Amino acid sequence: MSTLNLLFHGTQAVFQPMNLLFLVLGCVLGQAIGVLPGIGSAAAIALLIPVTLNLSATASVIMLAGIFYGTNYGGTITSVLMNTPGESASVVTAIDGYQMAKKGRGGPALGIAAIGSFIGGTVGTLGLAFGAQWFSNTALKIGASEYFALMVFAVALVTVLATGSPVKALLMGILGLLIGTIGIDPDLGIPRFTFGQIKLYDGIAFIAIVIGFFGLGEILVNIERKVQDTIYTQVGSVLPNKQDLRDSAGPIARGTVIGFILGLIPGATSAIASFLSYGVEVSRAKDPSRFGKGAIEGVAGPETANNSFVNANFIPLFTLGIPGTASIAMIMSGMMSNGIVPGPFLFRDNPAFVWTVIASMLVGQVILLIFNLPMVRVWILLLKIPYSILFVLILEFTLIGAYAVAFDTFNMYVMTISGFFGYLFKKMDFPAAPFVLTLVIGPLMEKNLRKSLEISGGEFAVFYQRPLTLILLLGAALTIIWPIFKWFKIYVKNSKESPRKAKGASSSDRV
Amino acid sequence: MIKNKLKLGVAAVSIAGLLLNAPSASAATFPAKGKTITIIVPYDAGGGGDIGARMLAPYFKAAIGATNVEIVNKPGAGSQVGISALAAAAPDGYTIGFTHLPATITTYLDPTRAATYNLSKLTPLSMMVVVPTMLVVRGESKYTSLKDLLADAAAGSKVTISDSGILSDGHLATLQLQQQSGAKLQAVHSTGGAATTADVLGGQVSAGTLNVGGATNELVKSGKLRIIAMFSKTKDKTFPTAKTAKEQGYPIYCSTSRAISGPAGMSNTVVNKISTALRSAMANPEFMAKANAAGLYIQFMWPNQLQAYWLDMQTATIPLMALKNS
Repeated sequence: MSTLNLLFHGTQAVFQPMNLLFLVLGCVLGQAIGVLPGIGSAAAIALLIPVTLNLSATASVIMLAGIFYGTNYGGTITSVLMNTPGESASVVTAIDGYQMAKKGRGGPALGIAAIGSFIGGTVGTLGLAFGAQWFSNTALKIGASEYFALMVFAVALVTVLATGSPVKALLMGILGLLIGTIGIDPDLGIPRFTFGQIKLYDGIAFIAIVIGFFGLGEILVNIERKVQDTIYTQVGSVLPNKQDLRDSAGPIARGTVIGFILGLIPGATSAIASFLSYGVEVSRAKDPSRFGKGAIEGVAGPETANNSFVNANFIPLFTLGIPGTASIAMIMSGMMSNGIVPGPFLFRDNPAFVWTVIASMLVGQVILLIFNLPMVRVWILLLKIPYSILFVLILEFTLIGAYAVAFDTFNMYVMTISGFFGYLFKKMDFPAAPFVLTLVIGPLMEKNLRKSLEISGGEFAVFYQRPLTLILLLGAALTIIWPIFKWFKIYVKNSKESPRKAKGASSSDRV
Repeated sequence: MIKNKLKLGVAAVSIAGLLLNAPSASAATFPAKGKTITIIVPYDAGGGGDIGARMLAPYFKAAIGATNVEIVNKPGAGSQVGISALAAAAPDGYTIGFTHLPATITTYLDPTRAATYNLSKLTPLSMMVVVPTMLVVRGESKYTSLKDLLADAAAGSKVTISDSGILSDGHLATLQLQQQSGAKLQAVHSTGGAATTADVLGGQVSAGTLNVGGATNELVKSGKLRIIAMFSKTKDKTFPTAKTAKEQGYPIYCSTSRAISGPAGMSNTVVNKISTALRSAMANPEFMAKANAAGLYIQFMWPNQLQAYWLDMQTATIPLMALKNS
């Protein structure tokens, strides 16, 4: 039977009442969990696995998968409306999404996120349906050195994220890298910077830091101003207009590809996919200074990338039994508990199961799009709540979110302290994006650097003898050199046109 | 006044007497009606260890006749957070938990980890799951036996072996293989079994250490992976043709196992009640069917057997701790 035929039969099976019920349930739950900060899809799926033991394997996995991809749709909402990311994959969305909401464009931000997520999710699933075998075998060629080079490339994007002062951006990037070294050394097994606190052995929880840094930091800045100033009475149009769609087409296309590729590599996370997409969009923009001030590309790209990632994540699981992320490992647990073992025989031995699940993922994207687009109108009503009331709600939200990360009060302290620093940095105009970018990428970059060197026996040749590694590293070098070159050009031009102006520019660090 | 004080003193002594008798009295009625037995799982909800525990809990509850059995996840620091809490709990039988081996042992043997527990702070109750470790290569590899791989290393080729993390069961196997053969093997630490599988399949490393079961078995059956040594005492029931390391001249035994323990100082009565209940829970055909479907290698051990198994593994691990960063 051809793939199309199989997919058609799968779709018919999805519309059986039980399957459809659990698909809708999974999507709704995923959406809700996405909205709740702190609780990720992995924890949610884990809690529901015992429930699925009484269902058919197909209905179970349809529901668990729905939770997995539904989460990314929901995570966007709090990022945009409250500057409090619900999921690590939606962190980067807060940067421009929240600024859009402040300007009365919360509707288009949420709208484009839903559309981008739909496209990313659908393309990811089509990749699973039509090329799973090929994609998973190709992705196996990506080794630790390629992965390391990719992370270097991502960190190099910090320089393009420096829309204000490049020095401040670099400092923030280094701070992120430093905080990322806290915890047990991945190779020697020795605790670093933990001061005897076993709660620091796993490092500081990324999402707790970010909730504080963004969510609480923003509250502190806002309540310091006259509270009335920050009420956004104008809600603006609900859906993206034609110009928005035109601006977002490129970011959505690139986001789909970035998310898809990263989704195939074990150990990558959807947060990295969204950050990479953001960095790429900033570096491609004609006017990068628009980013951080409400550029729709900064929402469209990352939101697409994280959904494309999630659906591509099923490819190594279904073809090789390799779960690339914690959440997909939970889905694997759910499959195994229901007697279905993923791996090279899955498509052969359980075709009805596989094709129904794949088809359910396509139908699920449609369901989520239908949920999300009209719901935008409801969500943005939140912005009509006077800020003097809303900020208390957000504050509670950040505390609950921090607690829910590990069901431990420790992260509430982490969140509070991060919030204080978030406030200080904002007052002093230090950008947040480079900090969160290196915080999420640093540990993986280190791990893969050391792993590459273990594999090569300590020889650095591994970084220039493997073509893909070399290309990525050169790309990173170019990313760093290009802005310096541009600043230099501007500097030369200015000093030619008006020597006094150039003097002014060089004395401040804004170029 | 004095009389009153005396009376008080007498009362205090008799209360103290009651309290002293209390453990044996409560041991006889263990588990008391209305009380909850908490099982600490020192890993995230939804991981392999957690799912197995949740599968077992209802059968254990029925077998021991407890009012309630609750799984509590206390993840962190590679099980150190949860096991610290377990060792510090009251030894009344109402708090027990999972102590995976060799992870529990390697944590307390490493002084930098500053663990507050070791075997003497715990009471081994029963073994639940023992999963043998094996050395695998990809289907296209030229190695078909341990001898091939070691000869290649001896001839000066770079031989890399991926494991799921420093001091994991697979890393301990690699260290022992290096120690016994004298060959130079380069350990490569991945972030878990999934990453190790990808390393081996993608040809990024020469070989890898994985646990039997689940998706790995499918990869072996399909020929994408080939077992070159099993680090077990007997041949594996799923792969009876795969040779053990011992058969190939290297007596190395490695496995990852899920033991159930309590805090130190539990009364014998309670220990017997719990281990007997765990045994009948694990022997329950309904539970067995579920465990088999999930690919769990159920292997029960009585407390004294577990104690011996634990000490054996500890003895084998101590000399490897000094080699771990070699």
